[in-house]
Order: sequence, then C-alpha cells, then structure tokens
Amino acid sequence: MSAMIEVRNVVKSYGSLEVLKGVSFDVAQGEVAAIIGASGSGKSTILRCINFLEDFQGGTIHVSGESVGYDTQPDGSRKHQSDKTIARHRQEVGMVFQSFNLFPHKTVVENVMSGPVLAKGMPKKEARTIAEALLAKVGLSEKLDALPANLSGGQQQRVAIARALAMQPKVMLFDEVTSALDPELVGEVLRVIRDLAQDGMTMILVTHEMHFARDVADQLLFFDSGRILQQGVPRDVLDHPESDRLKTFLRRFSEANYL
Amino acid sequence: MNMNVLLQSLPYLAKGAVQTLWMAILAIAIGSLLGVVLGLAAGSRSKLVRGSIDTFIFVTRGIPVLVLMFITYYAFPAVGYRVSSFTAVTVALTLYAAAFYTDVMRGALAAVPRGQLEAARSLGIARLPTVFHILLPQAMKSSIPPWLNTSIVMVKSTSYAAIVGAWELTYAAKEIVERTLATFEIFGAVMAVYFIICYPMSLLSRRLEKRAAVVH
Amino acid sequence: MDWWMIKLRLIASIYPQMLDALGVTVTIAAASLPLAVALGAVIAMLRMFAPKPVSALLGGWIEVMRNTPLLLQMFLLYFALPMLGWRLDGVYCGILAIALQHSAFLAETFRGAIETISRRQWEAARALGIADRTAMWHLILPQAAVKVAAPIGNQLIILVKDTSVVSGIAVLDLTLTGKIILERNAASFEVFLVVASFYLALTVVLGLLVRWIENKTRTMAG
Ligand SMILES: Nc1ncnc2c1ncn2[C@@H]1O[C@H](COP(=O)(O)OP(=O)(O)OP(=O)(O)O)[C@@H](O)[C@H]1O
Ligand SMILES: [Mg+2]
Repeated sequence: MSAMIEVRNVVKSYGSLEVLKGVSFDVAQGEVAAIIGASGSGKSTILRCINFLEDFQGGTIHVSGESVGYDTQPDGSRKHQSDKTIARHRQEVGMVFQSFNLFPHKTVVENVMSGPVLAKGMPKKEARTIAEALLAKVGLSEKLDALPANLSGGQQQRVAIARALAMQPKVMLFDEVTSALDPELVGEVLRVIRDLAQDGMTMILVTHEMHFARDVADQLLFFDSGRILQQGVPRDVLDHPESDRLKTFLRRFSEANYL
Repeated sequence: MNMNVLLQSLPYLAKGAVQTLWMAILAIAIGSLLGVVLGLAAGSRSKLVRGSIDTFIFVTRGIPVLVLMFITYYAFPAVGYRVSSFTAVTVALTLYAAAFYTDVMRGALAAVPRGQLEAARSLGIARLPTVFHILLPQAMKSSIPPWLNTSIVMVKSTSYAAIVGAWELTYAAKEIVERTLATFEIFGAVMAVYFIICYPMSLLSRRLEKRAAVVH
Repeated sequence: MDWWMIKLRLIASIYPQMLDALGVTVTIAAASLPLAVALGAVIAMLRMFAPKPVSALLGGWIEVMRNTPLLLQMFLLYFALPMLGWRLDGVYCGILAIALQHSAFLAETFRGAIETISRRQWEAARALGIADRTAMWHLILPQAAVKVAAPIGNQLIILVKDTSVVSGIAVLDLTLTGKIILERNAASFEVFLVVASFYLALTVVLGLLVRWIENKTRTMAG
C-alpha cells in the first residue's frame, strides 16, 4: 500500500539560494506528520510545494498516487502539468495559512462556500448546506453571516479550516496556524485539528507547539537548512535528539517554556 | 500633414509658450508661498483664522478654475481696477494653486509626529525655531509629490485662459488653426509642449512617492 | 439702496435661466463618468494582462492623456475630427474628451487597487483549486472595487469641475451660459458668483456622497 503523501528528493531553490536540498518522507493514509525546525529551514516551502503553490526543480511529490505539478516523460524529462490538472490537484489538498487569508468581502459562510462554488461549480444551495455543517463542526454556527473583520483570530482561523475542509480534501496542510494567535485563542484551534486527526484525516502540520505535536502526531520531522535531520515517533525524536542542531533547537524551546 | 505651416508658426507658438510659462511660474511660485504661510496659519489657535482658511479652501476647491478665472476677469474692472486679462487669469490661477498647496501643507504639517514637538519642547527649543527647523523641513519634504501633482494641474490649467480670452499658447494655437486649418499639426505640437513640461514632473513625483512608500 | 435692489433682482432673474445650463452640465458629467470608469477598467486590465507591446502602448497613451490639457484634447476632437469626415456635436466631443482623460487617471487607480490586494489572497484561492480567472472575477475584483469606490467619487468631483471646459467648444453649460448672460445684460461679475454657487452646490453634494461611501466601504475593505 503506497503512502498518501510521498515526497522524494525534492529540491527547490530561489535563484541561487537552495532552500530544499533533497527532502524525502512519506505520510500514510490517516497519519499525522508534524514538522518542526528553525525559521528559514524550509518548512513552509515543502508544504507549498505539496500544494504546488511553488514549483520545484528536482524530485517528485505524489498525493494519493498522483504526481504533483509535473509529469515524467518516457525519456525521463519533466513536463509541467496543465493549469487544469494543477487546480484539480489543489482541490484535493486543503491548506491553512498562518495569516488566515480569509476573503474579507465575503461573510463567514460565503468564505466556506467559495471553494465548492468557485472551483467545482457546485450550486450555492448545496454548498451552503456543506458550509453550515462544517461551521457547526468548528463551533461557529452563530457566526454564519459575520464578516471576517468582526471575528477574533481564533475564530477566523477556524473559518479558514472549515473553508479548506469544504473541498473534501484527502489531505490537510497546516502552516503554523496558531502562531499569529493570542495565547488564549490557540486552544480552540488546536482542538479542531485534534478532532480532525481523530476522524482519520491525513495531515501535515508545521508547528511550534511541541506538546501538541507530541500528543497528536504519528511522526515528527525535524527540518534544518532544507534537509530532514531526524525523523521518527515524536517521543523518540524529542527525548533522544541525535544531532547538536536538534538539541540546540529543543533547548531554546524549553528555555522559552514551550516544553 | 502640413509641416510648413507648423514651421512658419513656430515663432508665434514659442511666444505663446513663453506667456504660458510665465503664467504657470507666477501662479506656482506665489501660490506655493501662500500655501506655506496659510498652511502654517491653519495651525493657529484663533478660530477666526482657521475658519477663514477652511472657507477659502472649501470655496476655491469647490468651483472650476475656469469659473474662478471668469470671476477675477470681470471682478477687477467691477471694483475699479483695470488690469490685463493676463493678470486677471494669473491671479485666479494663483488663488487656485494657493488653495491646493495650503491643503497639502496643512496635511503634511499635521502628519509630523507629535512626539517630535514634545521632544523639542522638552529640550527647551522655542516655538518659532521648532516650526522652522523641525516642523517645516519635514513637512516640506513629504509634500513634494503632492506639490508636483498640483503644479501639473496648474500648468495644464493655464490653457483655460484661452477660453477667458487671455493670450497664451492655446489661444495662439487656436488663432493659427483658424487661419491655416492645420488642426492636427498645430494642436499636436502644442500638446507636445505641455507634455514636455508636465511629464518629467509626474515622473519625478511618482519616483518620490515610491521612495517614500519604501521608507515607511 | 436702489443699487442693491437691482443687483438682487438681477441675481434672482438669472437663476431660472441657469437651470437649463445646469441640466447640460449634469448630463455631461453623468454621461462621461460611467464611460470613464468602464474605459478605465478595460485599460487597467489590458495594462496588466495584455501582451507586452499592447500594455506598453497603453502606458504611453495614459501618460499623454494625463500630461496634456483637457481643452486641447477637446479641440482635437472638435476641430480635427471633422477634417477626417467625422463631425461630432460639441456635447459629444466634451463627453468623449472628459471620459478619455479621466479614464487614464482611473486606469492607474484601478491598477493600483488590484495590485495592493495581497498575494496571499491569490494564494488562498489557488490553494482551494480556484482558477486564476475565476479568482480574479469573484475574489480579487470585488475587493478592488471596494477600494476604488472612494477614489472614483473624488474623481467625479474633479470631473464635474472639468465639465466647465466644454464652454471652450461652444457648449452652453453653466459656465458659458453665465458668460453669455453677463455680456447680454451688461451685468457684472455677480453672474459668475451665481455660476460658482451652482458648482459649489454640486461639489458639496458629491463630497457628502463620497464621505458616505468612504464610511460605508471602510468596514468592508477589511
Ligand atoms: N519568494 C521567495 N524568494 C526568495 N527566497 C524565499 C522566498 N520564500 C522563501 N524564501 C527563503 O526560503 C527559505 C525557507 O523559507 P520557509 O518559508 O520555507 O521557511 P520556514 O521554515 O517556513 O520558516 P518560518 O519558521 O520563519 O516560517 C528562507 O531562507 C526564505 O528566506
Ligand atoms: Mg514558514
């Protein structure tokens, strides 16, 4: 049985700056992977590659068995996929950003409906039913007709999660979704993610919440300067760091009372 | 295209262009001076001063510059002054410019952070030196792009003098066209003159705006 | 005393005559604004998405329109077009010239507004698998529209004042009508105070409208 997400030797550079230097990992169906690492180590970049918000120069990514972004020709060369194929792929991968990125001119329920309606051409009535159910699930039934500007950060982020879920994705990617939140609002967002994990959603989370990673993740990946330096069961990685880099990284966290 | 007509008309057009430039330079120079003075005065404690400046800006900016030109054109003789149409029109342009520049200056002065005034006061710097050495230089600098944009409007507005009957570039062009019917050549050439004056100003203004945006 | 009575009676007597002229001014403004907005939007889109040569050409066009006097643009339409066999009525020349010049200013406003919509909004749409063209219409443009509502209002105020330039091509708007009344009655500059009061009334009303739109859209802009 092949993995839900299969990342092989991905290389990505911006001009001469190589930010991913051959990254490989698998995430099985229903598994939760957490990515930790210092700022600039390439954590966001790999998520963005999986959703093909960025192109990459080498390696392959497969989601649910389908190649992302490029097709390999019989002669071994890579060919950029059509916009249509890429859009269809993105519909199967949900992504939530640190900065929410809700559409400010649309109400909460319209934000959640926007994917099904604008990407899939679903009738509004049907989309609304789905949206209302999802908003109930993230605890925002009261706020259907509010504008994003009138919500707290935690509420906005839960809308963003519902918006991504409305596409019924096979995979969810979370990029530091609690980093922009006031501490007292972090819990409500993590609770939603934990529920998703229990429902069996395949997920990758980039996070600085070590406790949460330890609790929820099945595997932990430590990124350092565009490479994966250590990976494994969270407890093993966190309690038995193999490299000095990881030790330093974790020490800095415990000093900051994160651990 | 009749290039001969254009060549023969060039001296006449050049004379018109000089007249246009004079109008624009006088209006922009005197208008700017008034703008700085009134802009500073707008920060006055006197309600009367502030109210008068508000009213001046409100009324002047609320009507077309062409109408202001007609007002001065007919008002000077009505109150007993015989002035040339050039003077009447230039006075109108100057008032118009002053209203815009005052508004620009007032905004720029208000945008200087209050903390700087407090810092100056805590250093024991008196009111006037504070205004001239701290407030004005900063306000002047940030008001350069809007000052340029207003000046472009003023240069283009000089052409309306032709409607009132003051002789300048556009009026001269109309005279030549009526005589020669070389509409495209003459009007095209005149537009080119305005463009050559205005385009560098708008380029400069945009560059300064962009630089200011990067700094902030 | 008599003198004042005469002045007042004169002023009272010209208001009715000015009403027709007010209609002309308002019509010209009302016709040229939508034209300018539509044309400005088309130019802005072409500037951003058309092939390089087209976009560069339009860039040049915008600069020419912005940096030459409206009166000259009107003269070209009014005096030069007939030589090519097109005779346009003065009113239409006025409307067209005003629309052309203001569309150049508006095009840059629109482009600025679209470009300030953050890259993240595009990304959020892409991440949902929404095609760029759909995102443009349903997600980016509506946000840009909210942002340009107030600038369009301010442009409209300038546009209303610019309509006075049509008196340069013999259209009987408020300004030219004022001049004719003044000359016919050998009246004095008070006539132009009346003219000015009409324009002031127009710009004040529009100013209030713009203020209202600004308040309305501030919350929506997020
Ligand atoms: N558009 C870009 N152009 C050039 N360099 C970029 C670009 N985006 C990211 N980078 C660089 O790529 C590297 C990896 O960035 P990435 O955003 O993946 O880091 P990260 O691990 O997510 O960090 P953080 O914890 O700060 O979010 C960084 O050095 C960053 O400066
Ligand atoms: Mg990141």
